[in-house]
Order: sequence, then structure tokens, then C-alpha cells
Amino acid sequence: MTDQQAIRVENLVKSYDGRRVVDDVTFAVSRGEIFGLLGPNGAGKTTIIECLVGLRAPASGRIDVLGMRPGVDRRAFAERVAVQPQTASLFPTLSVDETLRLFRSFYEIGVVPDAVRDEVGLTAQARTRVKNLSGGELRRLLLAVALVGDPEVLILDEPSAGVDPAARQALWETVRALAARGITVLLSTHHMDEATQLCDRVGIIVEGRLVALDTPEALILARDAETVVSFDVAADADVERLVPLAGVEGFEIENTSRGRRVRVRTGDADALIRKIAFVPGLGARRIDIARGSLEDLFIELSRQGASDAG
Amino acid sequence: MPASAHSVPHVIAGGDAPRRRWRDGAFCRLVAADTKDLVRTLQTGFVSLFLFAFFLAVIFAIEVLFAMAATDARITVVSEDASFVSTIDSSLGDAVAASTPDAATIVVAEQNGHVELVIDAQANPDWHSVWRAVRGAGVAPADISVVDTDGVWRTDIVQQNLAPAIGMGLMAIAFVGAAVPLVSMRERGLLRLLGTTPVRTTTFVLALVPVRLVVAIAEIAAVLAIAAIRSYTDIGMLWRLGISLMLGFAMLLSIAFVLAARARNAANMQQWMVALTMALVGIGGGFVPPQTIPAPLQVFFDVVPTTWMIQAISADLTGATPAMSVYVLWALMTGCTVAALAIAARTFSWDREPGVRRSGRRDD
Repeated sequence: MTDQQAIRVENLVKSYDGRRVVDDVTFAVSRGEIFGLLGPNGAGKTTIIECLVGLRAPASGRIDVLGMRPGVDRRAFAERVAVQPQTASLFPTLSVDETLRLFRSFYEIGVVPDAVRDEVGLTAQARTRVKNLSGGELRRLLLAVALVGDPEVLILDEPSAGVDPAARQALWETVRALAARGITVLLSTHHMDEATQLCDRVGIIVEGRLVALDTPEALILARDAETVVSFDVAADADVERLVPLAGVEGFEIENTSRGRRVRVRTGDADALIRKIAFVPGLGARRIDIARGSLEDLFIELSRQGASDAG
Repeated sequence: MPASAHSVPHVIAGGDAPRRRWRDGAFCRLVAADTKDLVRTLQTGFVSLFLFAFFLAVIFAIEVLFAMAATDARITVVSEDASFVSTIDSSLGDAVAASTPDAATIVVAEQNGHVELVIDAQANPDWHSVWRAVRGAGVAPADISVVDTDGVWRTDIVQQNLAPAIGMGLMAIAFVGAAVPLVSMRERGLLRLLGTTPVRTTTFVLALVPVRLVVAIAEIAAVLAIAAIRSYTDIGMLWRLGISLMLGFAMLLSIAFVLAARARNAANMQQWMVALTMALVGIGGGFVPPQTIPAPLQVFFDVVPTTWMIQAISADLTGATPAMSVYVLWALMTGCTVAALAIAARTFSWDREPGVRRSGRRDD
């Protein structure tokens, strides 16, 4: 583990009842980086996070967080690493302020509770009891509880679950600002926009395996090799003329009320469009280009993982 | 997040948030949180107090029913201590006058080293007043017995059940009022969250004690008041009674922490704890008079830790004779408390998966 690495996971394996839910996962997160664990429900994201914070013991593999082994010295670890669990409750009868002051009292060093409360946008709910908070407000309070100890590493399990779009944007701002201050953030999500816009790097987990790991841009670029060009042609158009065109990696035809809709997969969409325009008798119109997205990659990898498992 | 919140500067992220090195008393904060939780969540507090109050109400009701149903007109109060006879006359006269307004007669006869006070009335006399008069003359409760015309022993239901009543109160506070909320916190994921903070296990668990101690003291005060009014207890032995109550409550809490160390279902836990409390009070002498329990069974009952507590309390609260010396009972209770605390410390789970390595520190 280098000094620049805040989190190092090597060959992590976790099994339940003989079934591997985390299978040989290896990744590292640099200090100040926002790292996203992306994956469908049940992929193993929460299990990885629970291993990272010492709530679960790996079957094999090694985890280092800030040079510490999770679960070995709970108090020293918890002073520097905070977690917002996916499902957790607080004292239902305490108010927001009482909750934050309580959790603040657990830490040697931290921030003033009122500042955290204001930061997550719960100023108006300062005296509201936890049991009367909405789902989104509760998620924000859990985030505040995680921040009140001024952690060096912040681990968020599905932080935007149940949060409205405006609150998500504010959450992202908060997370970006934390990273700018040098705090390492690892979050799990299945929101593609969250991963794309917020994370410096993402790891895609499918069926417990890490199937992709890079920056969102690099992953999208890799996906871009399979841009889909779609266009309409007349019902009697000779689409076989597409076959000899360079750059065509395959196409699908769908009958529509206007004739036929052709979808061509290509690695060079611009060149293909120029060629299609000059194919005699094809008459291509209503041309669309669908470049690869992280969501496409995610869906493809998820399907691939599911079929492999099946 | 509401739009208004967005105008708030990112003081934390900007690094300008007031950061402080402070230890704002995690213990005090936890005690305050626990107190508010108990006060604002009436159910747990109510169940804890209900068992005690209900049991007291039942034993007083039984006493009234027994008094109404009794038909004996002649009751003999027997004292094994004859030394009080010369000092008892005036108080005994008052007691008899108060208890038997229908011109009962009382005959004091001294024979074979004990004194018989025969109350002869038109109808069932209130022998409790005479009993208290004898107690007031300095005779220990264990040295006074009451028999009716047929020679059947008459028992003071309240005296016999006062120690089991406070035992039930303390057990309800520990088992229902402490163990159940702890399991509920685990069930709701709160312990899991707390387990990811630096709060010490001992700090967290000990913070559950103060508010429950206050409730326990209130119950103890009620029982002491009854014991004092009915002349069961000697002021001079209150220190010993205090130690018995303190050791007993500590033992019950430590057992409660063992019971709650791993459990995850609060509803089941509550049912089991109420049932356990009732069973242990029965074993400790509540519900059924100990003299009616077969000797072999009583031997088994006498090795149950909660029976030690009830017997030790009973010795100084109502003057009962325990199966063992009170000092031996203290030693046994202390040993049980230490063992239970050790087990609780080893088995208590913040809801982390078994197998997660412990810190190696005393406090994990």
C-alpha cells in the first residue's frame, strides 16, 4: 500500500453458505479520490463496504484502510473512517441537534455539530425528532452523523437512495467539496448519473466480481467503439447493400409504420454516416447516433454476468 | 435538499468549519439520550413499572380478601422472645383497642420461654396491630408467629411478598427495561451504526444504568415505606438492606446484558423477559409460600441467583430467615455479577459479523 493510497483491497473473497458473493475483488482508492462501486442490486457492493469498515470478516484477501486493518482496532479505525450504512436507524425520539451532539461526543476531534447540520441542509429540522423526518432527511442526517467526526475516509452506501433530485445535487456538491479538501470518498450506487458526474473512478461489480475499473470517461470511450447508428429506409429498400461497407459490424432491422428502421453497430459513426448517404437506392433518413454510455456498459455487463452465472 | 439549504456555505468542505478537540462527555450524552428515549417512549418505562405496581396491588388485594373471608374470632400471636412482656402493656392495649373495637379480650401467657397473646373477639380480629405492637417492643419478625383457632399458621401476605415484589420490580427494570431496548437497537441497526464510531462498549452499556437506577430507587422507596409503616424492617439494618439491593440490582443488570448480548428480535425478547421475570419471582418465593414448596424443589430454587437476591433483601426488609447467611448471599451475588459481566463483555455484539477480529484492547 503506497502513501497515496487510502484504501487497498486485494483479492477479497466473501462467501455466505458456500456461495461467493464477493469473488477475488482487487482495487485501490487514492487519497482525496471519489471512488464509486457500481453494480446491480445484490452484486456484492454492500458486502464489500461492510468488509471495508470491519462489520464483516473476509473469507480471504486483504484490506487496508489508511494503513489499518478494519475491525482490528475499532476505536482508532472509527476515529478516521466514517460510514453511512445503507440501512441504519438512529434514536427515534432524539431531535436532529441532539443526535448530532450525541455522535459528536464519541470523537476526540471533529467539527461543530451545528455546522454539519447546516451543511447537509437540516437547519430547519434542527429540533425535529428523528422519527418525524422524511426518508431523504434521514439519509442527510445519517450523512451528517458520518461527517461529524471529521473523517479522513468517508464510505457511503447508496447515499442518494430515497433522496429527491435537488437533494442529490446538493449531496454531490458536498461530496465533491469533501474530496477537494482531501477526504477520500468511496460510495456505492446504481445511479449511472451519480457515478458519471461524481466519481473520479468507478468499479463495476457484477455477481461479486469486479468486471470493469476505470474513470467513467474511459469506460464510456471503451463503450463508444460500439456506437449505434439508426435510420429509416423504405420497406422495399435493399439493406444488403450495407454489408460491404467498411465499419459496419452488424445491423438489425425492425419493421415500422414508416417502413423499416435499421440499427447499425459501428466503430466509426461519422465515416459510416457519410457512406450511408451515398448508397444507391437505400434512401436513409431520420439518422440518429447513439453513443455508448456508462449505463449501456453497466447493462451489458450486468446481462453478461447474469448469463455467465446462469 | 431544499433550495434554501443550498445558500448555506460549505463550511465543512471549505475547511473553515470550527473543528475542535473536545470530549463532550460521551457518557453524559448517552445517559441524556437514554433518559429522553425512555421518557419519550412510554412503553418500555410503563412495562418496567407495571409489573412491580401490579404485583403490589395484587398482594394488597389478596390481603384484603383474606381478611374479609376469615371467620376466626380467636387468634394467638406467639412470640419466642419473652423479654418484652414488661414493656408491652400500654402499646398492646392501644393495638388491641385499635384492632378489635368490639371489646375483644387479650390474654398474655408466658410459658416454656415463649409468650402467647391470645386475642379473643366477637369476630375475626385484626391481629396485624398486635403483631406490630410486639414488633414495636423489639421482637424480631422471625420470632413472632400467628395461629388461628385450629392451630393453622396465619401469614402476612404483604410481609411474605414484599421482597419478591421489589425483586420483580428490579428484574423488570433490568430484563425488560434494559435488555429489550438493547436488542431493539440491534434489530433496528442502531448498534451497527454505533459500532462504526469510536464509542466504547463500556461507556455505551454503563450509560444505560443511571436512568434505570433512578426508577429502581423509586420502587425501593415505595417498598421501604410499606415496610416501615408495617414495622417489618429495623432502621439499624437498612445499611445491610441497601447493600443487598445494590448487589442484587448490579447482578440483574449484568445478567440482562448477557441475555441481550446477541439477541436480535425485540418482540420475542420482551415476551421472554416478562416470562422469565415471572418465573424467577415464583422461584424466589413470590406467588407460592416457600413453606408449601417440597424440600427437594426448594433446594433447587435456592441455587438460582435471583433467589439469593430475594432472600438477602427479605432478611432485612421483612425479617425473613434466608437459606444462607446474608453475607454468603452477598458473596454469591458478587461472584455471579463478575461472571456475568465477563461473559457480557466477551459476547456483546455491535452487530458485527462473528469472526471480525477484536482489537485486543480491553474495550472493543
